[in-house]
Amino acid sequence: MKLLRTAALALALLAPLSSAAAGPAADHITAMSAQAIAALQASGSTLAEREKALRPVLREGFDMGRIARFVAGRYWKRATPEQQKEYTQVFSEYVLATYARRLGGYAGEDLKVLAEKPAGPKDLLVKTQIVSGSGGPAIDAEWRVRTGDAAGPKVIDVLVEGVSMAVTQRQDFASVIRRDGFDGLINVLRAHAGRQGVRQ
Amino acid sequence: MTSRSLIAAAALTLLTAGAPALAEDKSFTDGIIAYEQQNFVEALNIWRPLAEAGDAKAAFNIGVLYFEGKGVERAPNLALEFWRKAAEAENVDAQHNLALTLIAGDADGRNYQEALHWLVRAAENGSPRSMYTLGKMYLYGLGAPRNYEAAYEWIGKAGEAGVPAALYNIAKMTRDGIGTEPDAEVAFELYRRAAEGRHARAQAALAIRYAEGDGTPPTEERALYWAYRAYKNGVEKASETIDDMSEILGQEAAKAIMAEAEIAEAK
Repeated sequence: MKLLRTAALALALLAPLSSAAAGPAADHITAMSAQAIAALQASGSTLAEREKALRPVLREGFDMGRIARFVAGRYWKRATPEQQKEYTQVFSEYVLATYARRLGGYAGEDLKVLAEKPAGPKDLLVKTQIVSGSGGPAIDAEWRVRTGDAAGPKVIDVLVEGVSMAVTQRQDFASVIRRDGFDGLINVLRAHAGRQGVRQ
Repeated sequence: MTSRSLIAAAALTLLTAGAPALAEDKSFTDGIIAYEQQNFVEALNIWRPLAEAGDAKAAFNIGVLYFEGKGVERAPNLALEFWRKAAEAENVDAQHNLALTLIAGDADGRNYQEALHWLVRAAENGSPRSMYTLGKMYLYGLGAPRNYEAAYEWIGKAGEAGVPAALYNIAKMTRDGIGTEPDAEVAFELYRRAAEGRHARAQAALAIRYAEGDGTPPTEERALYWAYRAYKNGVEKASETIDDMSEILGQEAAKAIMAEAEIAEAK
């Protein structure tokens, strides 16, 4: 799994933001960023609780079901309905845990929303730049947002330096499935999401 | 840490702010205070000498900082080293994380055999989540030959220890007779307990059992109640049971039951 890229995205969500672009998809990314900051700045709770508070922001902002199906690729249809249900749930947990865990600890990066452009007939691509607070190199991140659904705009993919997270994950997942079967993939995703954080 | 102890910790920090102390004078709890204030570098500096002196809890927490990249460059391989050291000292959290990292394969690659070894130790040390994962390894035949009886035993123990997902899984295994004799009434009871533990798919399964009288006498009111809670927790298909039961019970009665379910979910 390309966790470094995930970490970069996590940084991006935390950032105090500046928006040079407007539109339904750009607004969606801007709103998610603002909600993430609000969740992390909430007082009177432990860091673990604040990290947990990020989960609803991500769950609402991403179309987890659609991403899960895409990432499973051709193996989706071969899985039993029970496996599909369990996989969709653990995939969502995996994404939430991976992002939320990283988001909690960072600050100081700036997410610049630069532009919004059409991507295919159904989607918009929001171009952003993550500028490091400590002077590191800026990272380009693009957010593929589907806007036509009744549930409102949802992120369905993120491209870091031009590389699609969903496509990368699909390749990683396929290699796990080939070795250990669909249940093996479910097991791996559950392991990703199930680690214990810092103990008091 | 409760909010009261957080306030106490904050007060303590204020009181001691003027008194410079050497890192080695600081306790494990000082590290926690630094961590909660997101001073991850300080937390690391406090815990490191403690870990080197054999404090397994400090070693475990340092592993988490390396794994999550807090205060340091993210380094899963180093996290694994710290967790391994703490795991050898029977720290159950470290045993659990070490095993899961060996399954996830995001540090040194996948190693199901070694993962199984640590899961057994963590499970025997009482970690419910390790018991659950261990059961799944036996169920899927990962790291060991497939063994349904062992899977049933460990997933069952995890359920008894309070993991709702484990109760749901053991309910399915009891329904299907995997690792045990099939028994609809026992399965029903297990679904009920998992549903009470807010497991969404267990709530949906329980609703269907009440609707169809599977392992229980048919009870439309309970079917609607649990279908509504499942729906509220994201099981979209539960809307079918909600519609069917509402039609049988009538809109007024249905409304009252859904209000009851709403209150239960809000608790």
